[in-house]
Amino acid sequence: MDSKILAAALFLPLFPLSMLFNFLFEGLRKPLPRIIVLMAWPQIGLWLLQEADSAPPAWVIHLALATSLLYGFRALVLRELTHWVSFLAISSWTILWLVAGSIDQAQTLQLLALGMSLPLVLLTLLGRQLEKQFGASYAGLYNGLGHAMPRFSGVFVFTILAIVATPVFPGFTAMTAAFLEATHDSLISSILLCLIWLTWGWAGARLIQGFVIGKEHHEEIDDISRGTAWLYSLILTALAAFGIHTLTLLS
Amino acid sequence: MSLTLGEKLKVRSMIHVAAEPVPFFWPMRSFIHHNPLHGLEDLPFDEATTVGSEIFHARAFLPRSRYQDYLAEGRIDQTKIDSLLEDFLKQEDTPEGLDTLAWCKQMLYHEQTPLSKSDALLSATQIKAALANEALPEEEIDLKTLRQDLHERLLGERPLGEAIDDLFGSKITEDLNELVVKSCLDFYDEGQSVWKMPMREQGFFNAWKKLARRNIRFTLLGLRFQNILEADGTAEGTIIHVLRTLGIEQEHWAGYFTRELAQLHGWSGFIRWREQAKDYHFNKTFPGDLVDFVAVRMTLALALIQAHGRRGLASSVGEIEEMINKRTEDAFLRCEFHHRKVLPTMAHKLDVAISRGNDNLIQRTFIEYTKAKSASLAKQQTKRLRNLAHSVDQEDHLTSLDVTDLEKLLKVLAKVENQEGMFWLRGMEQYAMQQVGKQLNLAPAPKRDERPFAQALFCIDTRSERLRRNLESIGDYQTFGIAGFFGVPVSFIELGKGSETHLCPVILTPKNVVIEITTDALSEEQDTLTTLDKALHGLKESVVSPFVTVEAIGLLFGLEMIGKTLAPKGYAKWRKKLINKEKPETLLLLDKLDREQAESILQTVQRALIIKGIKQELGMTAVQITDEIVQGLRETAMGLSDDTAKLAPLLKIEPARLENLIKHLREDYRINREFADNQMDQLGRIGFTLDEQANFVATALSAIGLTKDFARFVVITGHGSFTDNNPYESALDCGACGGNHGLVSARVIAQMANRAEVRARVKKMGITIPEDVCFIPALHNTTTDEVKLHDLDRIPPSHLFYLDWLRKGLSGASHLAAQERLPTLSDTQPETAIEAFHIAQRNSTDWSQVRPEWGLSRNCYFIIGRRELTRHHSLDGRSFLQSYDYRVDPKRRLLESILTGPLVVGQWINMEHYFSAVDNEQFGSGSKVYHNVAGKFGVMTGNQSDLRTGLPAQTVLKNGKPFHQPVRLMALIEAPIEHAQLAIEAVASVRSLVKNEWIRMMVVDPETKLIHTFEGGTWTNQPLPTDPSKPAETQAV
Repeated sequence: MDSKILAAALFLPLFPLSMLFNFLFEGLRKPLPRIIVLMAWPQIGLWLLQEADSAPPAWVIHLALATSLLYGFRALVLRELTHWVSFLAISSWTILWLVAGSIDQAQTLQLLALGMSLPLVLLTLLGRQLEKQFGASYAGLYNGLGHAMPRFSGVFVFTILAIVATPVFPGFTAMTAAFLEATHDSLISSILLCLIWLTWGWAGARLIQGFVIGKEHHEEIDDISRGTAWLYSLILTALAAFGIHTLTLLS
Repeated sequence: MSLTLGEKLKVRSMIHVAAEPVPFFWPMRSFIHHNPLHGLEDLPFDEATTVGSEIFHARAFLPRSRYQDYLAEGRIDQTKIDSLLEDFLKQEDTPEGLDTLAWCKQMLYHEQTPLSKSDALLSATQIKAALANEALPEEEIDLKTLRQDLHERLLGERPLGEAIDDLFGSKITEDLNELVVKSCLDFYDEGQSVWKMPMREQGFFNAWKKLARRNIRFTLLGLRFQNILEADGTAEGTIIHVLRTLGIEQEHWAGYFTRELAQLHGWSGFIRWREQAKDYHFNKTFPGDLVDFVAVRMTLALALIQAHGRRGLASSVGEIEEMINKRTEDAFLRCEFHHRKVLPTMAHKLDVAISRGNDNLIQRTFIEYTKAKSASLAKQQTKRLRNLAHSVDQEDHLTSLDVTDLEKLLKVLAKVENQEGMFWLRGMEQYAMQQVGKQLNLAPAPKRDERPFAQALFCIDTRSERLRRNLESIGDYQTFGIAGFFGVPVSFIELGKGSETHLCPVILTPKNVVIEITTDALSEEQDTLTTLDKALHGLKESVVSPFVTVEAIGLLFGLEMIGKTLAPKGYAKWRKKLINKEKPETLLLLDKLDREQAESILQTVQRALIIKGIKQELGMTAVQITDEIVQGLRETAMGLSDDTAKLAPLLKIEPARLENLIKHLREDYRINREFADNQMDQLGRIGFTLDEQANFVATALSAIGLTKDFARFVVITGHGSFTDNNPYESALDCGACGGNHGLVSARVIAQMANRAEVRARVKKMGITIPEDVCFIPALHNTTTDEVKLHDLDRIPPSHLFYLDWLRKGLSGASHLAAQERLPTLSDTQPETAIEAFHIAQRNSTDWSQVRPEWGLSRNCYFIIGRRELTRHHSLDGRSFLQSYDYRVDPKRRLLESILTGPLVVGQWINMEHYFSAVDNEQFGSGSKVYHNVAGKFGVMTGNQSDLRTGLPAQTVLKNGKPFHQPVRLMALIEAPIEHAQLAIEAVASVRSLVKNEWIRMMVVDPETKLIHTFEGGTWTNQPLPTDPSKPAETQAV
């Protein structure tokens, strides 16, 4: 097998190489290195994939789907936000193995990967906000933020929606492209994709429930500023616009 | 397992006693305000709140920040709290050289976050070190103490499911509640479900256990009932089997039941009420008591716990005990993690250690965690202590305290925080007492040369106060306050309805029945519309039909929706015109029937039924049915004679068919001897004797001091609320009328008082009602403040000239009251009284209005005295006003009866509001927005929850903060102190409420001009605070 494809399996992390990414990401304590990794990692993977002399073999695609499902499924029980980001990053980036077969233009593909990474970056920043406020970003410990931090919660919910490939966000375009590719492959691949999508949505809903829903807090909690909320909203809107744009490219 | 009768009775009585702290929950058709801690009223208020908070997992006082807001707004008497703090500190061991009082004041008045609860992981030595910025001394965790704590927290009377949830993060309690609610909804349904639960007549547990074995959902959840239900077929036996299987010690059974019942206190309260309401139709038809409820709950609990146990986890008291004893660190970490007490920074580590279950890892995590938590607690505590010390300028004192003194300080502060709710409450009440004290006027009413234009009797309800004040201000009106059933307990049968409604406080049971009759025939058109209405509802509620209905008649509902939403007032008028024809003029059957009259009525009813039966069975027309036929059939069916030979040719039917007809008449139409005897007994309950009527009239008038100087008109005003799409409508109705409208009670007393024979008897009792006095019943719509006069056809012609004047007066008062009330209710600020009145009318018909009126929110006082006492001051709709003149009640009978009925009902209302305001989620019913009607007798939050028992957030909160200021009812009696004290002592229930301080009792003595207050077990007095500059001397009596 092409050595570049093997290297790509680290950056569009396939199991068991995905464990290395996990180890690295969870070892980073500061948000900035995490952001850099989230932005750069899949780009390197895609570049390697494009530079490879041959297309990845079918078993690699199947492994990518299996990896994605594995991490999506495991994210269901995760409550710590950094771990959740790490698992969802792996689960969504592995989809790019299929997307790469569906989208020829390298630039579009890289922008799409960026569009998938950006919500993860936003969630990392939001997690940092929680760490500052509560000492950790852990679902279920201090739920009910919807009442106490309405601006934060609004942004948080839309960021999760962007990560779990809700329509109009780039993740949705990637998922659609993956479906188009999977239909050429086999029914099993399509079913696996459906399951992956289901686990993402489920994991996202659990996370929202663990942070946003619940009883009202009586102590004073600082919400993010209006300006910050607007900035997050702007980025999410841009992501949505970009998602729609890439969706039109697919057709 | 087979139980003896004694064992069964023991379980039943244990459950009965265990359920006492759970208050009754009446069906919402007649919402009864109640004290959520009614079962604990034999305890002093502060003790009861502690116990109640623990049982119901609720808060009994507001958060400190809310009290601080009240303090800033000047609604709390700070000097009262200061003096309470001083008294408290005198009994405590406080550190030398430290101004502990200043610390306590600073903490209560300025700090928003409570200092800190004591924690086994933090000692005074560690805090001392942290204050000195030194490293925390390493203290070994005492595992024995930890074990003891865990035993207390997890075992004993605590339901085992809760303990397992705490240890393993399972959701047994949540699942159990959900399954029990679903089972209750199926069984207790009163007509909401289209598909009914089968076998309900066999009782709750019997019907449920037969279905449980075939319930697919239970099977999917992995619940196995076979062994549990086969252990003993009875409810009592099953309960014992479950308790023994779980390993609950017998000494804890009663407490265990209380905690299980309190988990769904709405359902438990409803079932508890239902089982004692022996005449309740649904209870008679589908019996289901608390023993059944506990049996179902315990069976489900055991099945859930066993399903959990099959995963190899602890599932009995013995196994949990073993875990605590042998794996104390593991149990401790699990409780910390699953009970959300974990340090956020350590949450993930704990999660990993617990899920791996490795002993070494758990030991290491335990040591790391306890150290980290001690450090975090010490940091938090030190910061707060330093802030406090800085604010009272005693930072140096704090750092120089030795460990013993620091411990003393922490202990005192913790105690103050533990009792602060009572301090704040007393401060609020003191302020409220002072406010009412300033407004009291003990001067006698000025002498009048002529009689007033009209006198009006209103319910004591707080909402009457505004209307009364405004009515008095715009004309020559005298008003009186009396409980809205006007002292006449009535069981009322409304026109066209077959059931009795009790119109009196729920603590009374009426003996007499009043029937509403009409001279008009009920129109066929009305029947058709009712049928159509029922058919439409049936279509909406059935399972399949909505799919078709939407297409077929959806547009009709669409039009209604648009009308109700965009123009509620106009649409309501149009709809009323189209569908709800005005109710025909009716009369109330008030007089007692003699035997002859009763028999005649019975015969008439039987004849009507026989005619209906013949039409139905034989298809004959009314013209064909002769008197002879009807008479013959009646006598034959009743067994008085046998006219079959004569009847067959008259009816032109075969003898066999005639036999069949007679059988139908006996069985289906109940024309038989036994039922007739029963009906005769019922007829004997109808009406009142003349003496009874005279007695009721005289008592009502004496009770309010209206014994002379009658006006031409005496308006008797009942009240009721009219709102749309509001399951809580009945909560806004008259509490004294059992949560119903008060018009019927007003009509009853007015009809009695207008009778010449009654007046003659009343005259013999010393009250002369002049001939020209006319009692007119009226209804005060509390949502709009409109007052509508009724039975106007009975007004003598000579009075008609004045009627318009009376109407204008009432209308003016209504508008002014609405104008006064509206600003607190909506954001729209009406400029004129008319505009306010129109907005109020719109609220009444708007189906989207979640707060059509405030109801009794902000109730605070219960004043028993002459109107003159407070007439010249606004009480802002916060006071129940009971007219009373001690001079006409030398034997205190009237006062005792006021204390027994109206005051107790007032206390229930007050406590319902108090607890709904302090913890709306637990004691109240949360937001109305999420409410759904359950089984046609209650509401739930969402599609499935406990029955919501208290008041909704929209009734007691405004913008998330309490609109109702939660204080205990302050009762004030205008009478000589001995007179009042003797009356209180004579009524055991009220004496207990006063002594336990569920009611704050004040007596204003018109003879000595002193105001007496009962507090802390003794009466104290002080002069009336008429002059604010005059110092108040307090002295114990």
